[in-house]
Amino acid sequence: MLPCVPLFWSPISSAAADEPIPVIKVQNGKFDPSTLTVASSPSLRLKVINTGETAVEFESFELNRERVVAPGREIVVYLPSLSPGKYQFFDDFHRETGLGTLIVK
Amino acid sequence: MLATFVVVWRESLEAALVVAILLAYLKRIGQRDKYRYIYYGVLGALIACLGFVRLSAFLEGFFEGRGEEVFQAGVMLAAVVVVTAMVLWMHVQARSLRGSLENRAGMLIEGGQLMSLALLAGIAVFREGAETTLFLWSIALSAHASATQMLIAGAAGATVAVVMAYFVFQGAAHLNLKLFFQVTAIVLILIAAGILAQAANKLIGVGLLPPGIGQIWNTSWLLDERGPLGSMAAALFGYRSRPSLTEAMVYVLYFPLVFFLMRWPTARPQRLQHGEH
Repeated sequence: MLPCVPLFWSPISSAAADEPIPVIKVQNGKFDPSTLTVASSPSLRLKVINTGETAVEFESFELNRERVVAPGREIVVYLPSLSPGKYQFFDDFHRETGLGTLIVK
Repeated sequence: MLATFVVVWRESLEAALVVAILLAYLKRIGQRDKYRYIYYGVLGALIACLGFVRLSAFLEGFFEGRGEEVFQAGVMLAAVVVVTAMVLWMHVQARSLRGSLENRAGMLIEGGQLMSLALLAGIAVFREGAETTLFLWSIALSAHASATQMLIAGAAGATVAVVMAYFVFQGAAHLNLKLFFQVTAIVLILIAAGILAQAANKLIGVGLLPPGIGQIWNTSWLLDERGPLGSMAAALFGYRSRPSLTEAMVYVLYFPLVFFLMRWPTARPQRLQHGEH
């Protein structure tokens, strides 16, 4: 049982700290860019910056993440390792306008 | 506007349900005069939500943007501890009942247990309320033309949730006592497991907990969180269609833990009975 631990739960890589983090800006429910392409990576992160006056919630069922971003704040979301494909995300607080796609190559 | 209503309604419903279960429990054991302890807990939580809005701005800078998530994960863990204690306590109470007695007015609740009830109600309300308050606050502060409308939609959402919880309260309060305990215990256990997995998800999202395997399966074909049933399951029981290994393990391991804790104090009551004879 114990030997399985390093297999599944490798420590969170700190080498990834040097890589530039892809950025998505969101303003009152509008994502910019609304489509973002990234390379597949075991330690993918995403920076979400709220440039609007209302709180937004970066949420995605396909990425299994939901995080509130207060106005004027930025957050870094650690994503699970993803196989290539399209992943939808949305702003749960502005469902009518906030829709985006993350394309993993 | 509809979106605001739905968001606030969803967030409020889970908290309202926990409060309804607690009130129904008190009613069933004939302790209606203790309702106010639940109300104190709820009131305290609502005040804490307002404080949270101020505090989160401070924490945000302190923990490089992770503060809010870490704080919420901490609140969730506290909630799991309290819910677990509640389940265990109700289990012990239920076992001391013979058959299906109605309104056992003789059942004593001491101060410590009342505080636990108040705490449980408070944590349930705070957990959902903190995020919702932040959301509504920023709407109130924004210069949006429809801000007032959205706030009204939010208030309506919370009201509908409370009304629905009230019906649950009425229904639960008339259930056969033994069935009530069993159903309540199952619901609370599922809620606690869901909260625990959610806390793990938050810590994974800020890179403080390894996910193990990013997404071990995809059950959205079976139950999609986007649908009405799926979103209820997600909100109440923490159902996720694409959990990480860590989240799934945390969820699954909670059940044997609770059952073990339930079996643990079994020895003592039996020994007492032998002693009395």
